[in-house]
Amino acid sequence: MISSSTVVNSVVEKLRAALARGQWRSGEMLPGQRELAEQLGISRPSLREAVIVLETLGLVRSMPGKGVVVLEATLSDTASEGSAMAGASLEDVLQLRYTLEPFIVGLVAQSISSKEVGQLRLTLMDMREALEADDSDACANAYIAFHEELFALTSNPIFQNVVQQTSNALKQSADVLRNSPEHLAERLEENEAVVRAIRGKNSAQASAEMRRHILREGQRMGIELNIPDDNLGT
Amino acid sequence: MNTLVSHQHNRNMLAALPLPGRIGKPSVDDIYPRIFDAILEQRIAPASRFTEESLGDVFGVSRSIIRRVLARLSHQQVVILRPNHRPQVAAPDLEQTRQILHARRLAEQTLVRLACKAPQPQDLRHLRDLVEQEQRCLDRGERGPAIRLSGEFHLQLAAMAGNAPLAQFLGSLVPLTSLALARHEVKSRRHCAWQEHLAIVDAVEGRNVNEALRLMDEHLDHLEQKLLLAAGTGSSK
Repeated sequence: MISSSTVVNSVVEKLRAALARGQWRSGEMLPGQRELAEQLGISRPSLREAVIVLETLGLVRSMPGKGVVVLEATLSDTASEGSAMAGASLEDVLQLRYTLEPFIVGLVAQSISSKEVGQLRLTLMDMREALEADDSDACANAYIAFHEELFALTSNPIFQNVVQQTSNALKQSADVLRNSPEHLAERLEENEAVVRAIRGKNSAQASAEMRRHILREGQRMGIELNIPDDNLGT
Repeated sequence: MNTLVSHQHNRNMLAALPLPGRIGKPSVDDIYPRIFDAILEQRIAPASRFTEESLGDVFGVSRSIIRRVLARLSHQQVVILRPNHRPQVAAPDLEQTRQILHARRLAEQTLVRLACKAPQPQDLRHLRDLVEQEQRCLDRGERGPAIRLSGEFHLQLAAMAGNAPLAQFLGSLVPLTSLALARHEVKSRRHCAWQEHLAIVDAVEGRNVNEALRLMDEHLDHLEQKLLLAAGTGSSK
């Protein structure tokens, strides 16, 4: 019941965050359905459903034959509740990732199919090719795609929003991801270790590798995380 | 037209929840706790559907206020808004409750650790204030508000941690826990979380990270026992 609307919910969150960021101002029209669906990478029926939810929330109004107009009234509410990421520092985001991602990846390792593992490995191959071609943009994009694919595999709707948020935060901080070639190579290796553990259905190992990756990511950014001492050794 | 709230019921609702003594139009912040309490006390039944109009009539406010309250509740996953459906109160099942609790444990461990770093006097005061209110509600037998305040304690503690995204994530878990508590715990004895809350505040105030972590862990253990036991013996399917 809840999970069937997960896609719609995540689209609602995306649009809500975009509205809160002021991507469209009140009185403006949203882009056309086809364009917007393409931008968000979803089907048009999902987009239509999401727009209906936003309409219920009073954020937009559909004008038949014209499009969808953005309303003013509740934007301040959404800004305070919908976009905690807007004011979040890189450290906040890493701390959030460190708290949740090892656990989520452990869940994924328990339930993943071999086809899904194959998809993850393909994305890592994209990352390797980008690295070899010295294309740091493509490398950052592949990293974000890997993150999204990995966490799309969790079936628990309570994690969907947070995964969406961290993806958005990664995109906003993509500059940090386009760093030196050595760093890119390290990141790839760490992700490969995560996938190896997932492939072996080794939940504990997958969690440990993800913890290691996020800690290293912090070191590469010069951020020291506040974490329990007993996790430092792993 | 509306099977959910009969006229008689409306009166009871209003009588039970007098607006705080202030003049002027009620705001979203005034109405939100009243609607959430009504849900927690099952004056708005679980799995019932209602309309913006019916709630607006009951609480004597405009639809736009109701809509914003519902938006907040839907953000907290308490109310489900779906296209072409009336709003509906969520009904987390046993497995979902288990997962919510697990996620809470992860998030709250980090948040408590961060909150111990530099607790501010006014934040600690706010926490103690919430515990006191919770206790007063219990003394008066007001179970719904007590459960809500108990949840607000955790959210306030999370806000102190200074990690907005993580606090926001917890914000989608705590109200759902309150909902499950309100639903399952009916038969059990008094809800006495406030004593454990007080001990947590003391530990945070003393910046005693390990003690705060231990207390939080124990507190969540108790919560889990209550919820999973009650759910197991109650409406096991």
